[in-house]
Amino acid sequence: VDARLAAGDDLGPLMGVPIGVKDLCEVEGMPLTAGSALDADVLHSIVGAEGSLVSALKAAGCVILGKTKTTEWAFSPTGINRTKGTPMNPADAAVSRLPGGSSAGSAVATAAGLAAFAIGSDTGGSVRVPSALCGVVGIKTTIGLPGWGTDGVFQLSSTFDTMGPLAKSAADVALVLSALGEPTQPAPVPEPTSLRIGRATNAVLWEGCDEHVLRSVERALELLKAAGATVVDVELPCVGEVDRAAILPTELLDFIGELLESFYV
Amino acid sequence: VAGRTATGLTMPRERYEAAVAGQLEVAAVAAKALAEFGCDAIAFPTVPVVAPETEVAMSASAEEDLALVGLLLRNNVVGNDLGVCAASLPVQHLDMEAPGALPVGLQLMGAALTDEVLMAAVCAVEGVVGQPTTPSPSL
Repeated sequence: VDARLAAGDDLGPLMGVPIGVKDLCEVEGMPLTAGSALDADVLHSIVGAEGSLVSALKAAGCVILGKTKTTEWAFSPTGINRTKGTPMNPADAAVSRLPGGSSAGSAVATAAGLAAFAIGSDTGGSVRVPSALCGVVGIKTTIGLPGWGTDGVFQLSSTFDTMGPLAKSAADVALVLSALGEPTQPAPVPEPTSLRIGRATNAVLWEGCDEHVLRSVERALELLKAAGATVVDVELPCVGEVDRAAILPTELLDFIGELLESFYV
Repeated sequence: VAGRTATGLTMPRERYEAAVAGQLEVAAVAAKALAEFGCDAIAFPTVPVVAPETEVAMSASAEEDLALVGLLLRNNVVGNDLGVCAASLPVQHLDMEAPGALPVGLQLMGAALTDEVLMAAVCAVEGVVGQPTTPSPSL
């Protein structure tokens, strides 16, 4: 990397940055398990070649240190994986705690400083749950965001699967997002006084919250108000109205079905 | 995982197709609502609880495991169902009654395909609330 840079070959802000990639993604030269005991060659035959996101990371000069652990088939937000092992949450050195998942290893590697950022995927919270439980920043991108395709990635749900980066700071996540998509410069950061934040009033989002969670979140909103931001109450529509229980297992089986059939061909 | 996957074996195709169509309708309603709100981000807790102890969670019954799965997903599936982008920002350091306590995520949700604008807003929020001190695991 240093030699290329010295020769004037500057690949941009991600050049030489050490990263982790969720073991749901095909990375040429690395095994793929999708957190399962399935044979890597069989998985490769169905997931296909390395996808556009991993290729773009390489082209941007990222150094992929390795694969990060995922819940089996990315199908649980706990981070528990009885087949491949459950990573420890670095936020507590005294007691072993769950990292959250399914992008468990991506959050752990980022929180522990093992990687500058890591790639996760999110179907129902798989970037944001481990980000929250390990104390890092992560974003679930909108499906169809340029540069963040799910090709070359084990499919849980074709309706919901999407990719996203996890990093120590919001600024780092913003940088990664812009470096891999279009435009190539991060969007300008607004002044606090021009921020308009909606506090979701849907009761279900606040039920059963730990006191520590409530105090932390409410304090964040108080600080934003104090800094001159506008905080308004909004009621999100259609919460809980999607029949996810019909979509996820069906789409996973559509995918796995091909996988299992390939054993017998 | 196997149990939840297996529910797909008996899933009627009609119910699946109705669900996929329903999600598209929900996304359209959400897009209209978010445009009317005109917010840079919608805020709520990412996860209602802090990280559970591994030993307790690993020895939980199937019912308890399912309850934990539901609790962790509850606030997050909203972003997937509505077809938008959503970030989580650590805010545990803001709890003045429990400094140094376990991580807490503030979810900040934006309209579909405004990912970079949302992250700019998250950066602004981070600038106001600050970052937690890096956990230093005694490895």
